[in-house]
Amino acid sequence: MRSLLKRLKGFVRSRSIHVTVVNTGGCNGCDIEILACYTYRYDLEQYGIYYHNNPRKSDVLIVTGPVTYQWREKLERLYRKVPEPKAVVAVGACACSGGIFNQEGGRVCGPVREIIPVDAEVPGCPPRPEEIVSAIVEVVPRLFRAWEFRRGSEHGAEAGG
Amino acid sequence: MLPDYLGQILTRKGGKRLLDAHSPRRILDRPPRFRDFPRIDLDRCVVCGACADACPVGEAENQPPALEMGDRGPVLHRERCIRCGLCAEVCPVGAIEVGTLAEEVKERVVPSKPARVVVDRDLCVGCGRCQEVCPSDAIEVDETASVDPERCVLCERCIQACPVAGAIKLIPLDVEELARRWTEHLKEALRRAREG
Repeated sequence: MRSLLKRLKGFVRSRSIHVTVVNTGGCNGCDIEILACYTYRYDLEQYGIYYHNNPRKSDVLIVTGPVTYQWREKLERLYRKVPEPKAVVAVGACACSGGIFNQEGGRVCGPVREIIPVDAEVPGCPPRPEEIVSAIVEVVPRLFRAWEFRRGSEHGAEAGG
Repeated sequence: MLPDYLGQILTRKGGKRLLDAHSPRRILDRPPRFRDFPRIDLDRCVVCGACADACPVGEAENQPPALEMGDRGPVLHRERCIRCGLCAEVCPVGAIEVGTLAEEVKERVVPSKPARVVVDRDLCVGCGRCQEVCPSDAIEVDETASVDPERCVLCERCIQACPVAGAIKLIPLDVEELARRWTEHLKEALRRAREG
């Protein structure tokens, strides 16, 4: 019975996801592709994923761009503001590896996964909207469906704090 | 229309799609000039390293470059690649495909030349007339003339301008072409002998 309730909770959670998009110093190309995800051709809202730029009310943090030194602490703070259950999607080559900015002469902290835990990465410069859509639509609901079963273990301590 | 729709629902996959908004949809068509991640054909690769030199994403601390040369050919690191398509453009054998850009690049790959202009260094006097007439600046004269085969367009003007017979020669790389030229040469010699 409890398990059924957990599954129901997970099902409902996976159907209503609010995302926050953060650009941590990229060239704005990935943000434009994310914008294209919300147009009629690749409608993300039909999957129940809403654009809601408020970290305290959202479930998913979409990070684009290499993390500059100015963004490093702010990104950590932003991540702590997002309530559990939460997921982070790194979109673009910059967020996955630092991209073209992360080479000799560039001043960036490098991939997002070295600063905050990342659940899905979408490579590409910029990635196609359908690649972003498939990353968000296939990976993130799966996380939220399983979260009720995981929350007692390592995640519970994090949620309390 | 309606049978199509019903068929989509009545199959197992269609029924699942109706109930679950999260099941994957079909991938949309690629627009023209779309650049995907490079697909590398290792069988055609000649391991020249031109693609790795052209790649704009260099090595960083604990991050590899986007294209790295391995023993058997280039190795692509997807998280570094910015899909600029430069690797496909510089590839001399067309072994790299980048989305729908591949067809355009294929047209630009220059076919190998049917012949080669060769200077006989023993006969060349270094007068520099061939350098003057060459339309593509392929010849450089430094004591004797030397030809850059990449720039040469096989116009044979240098052969006409050369004062020494046989110092500059056109050598076809194709066997059939060689045979055709040889028979022509023989006929010409025969005709001259009869007239003379």
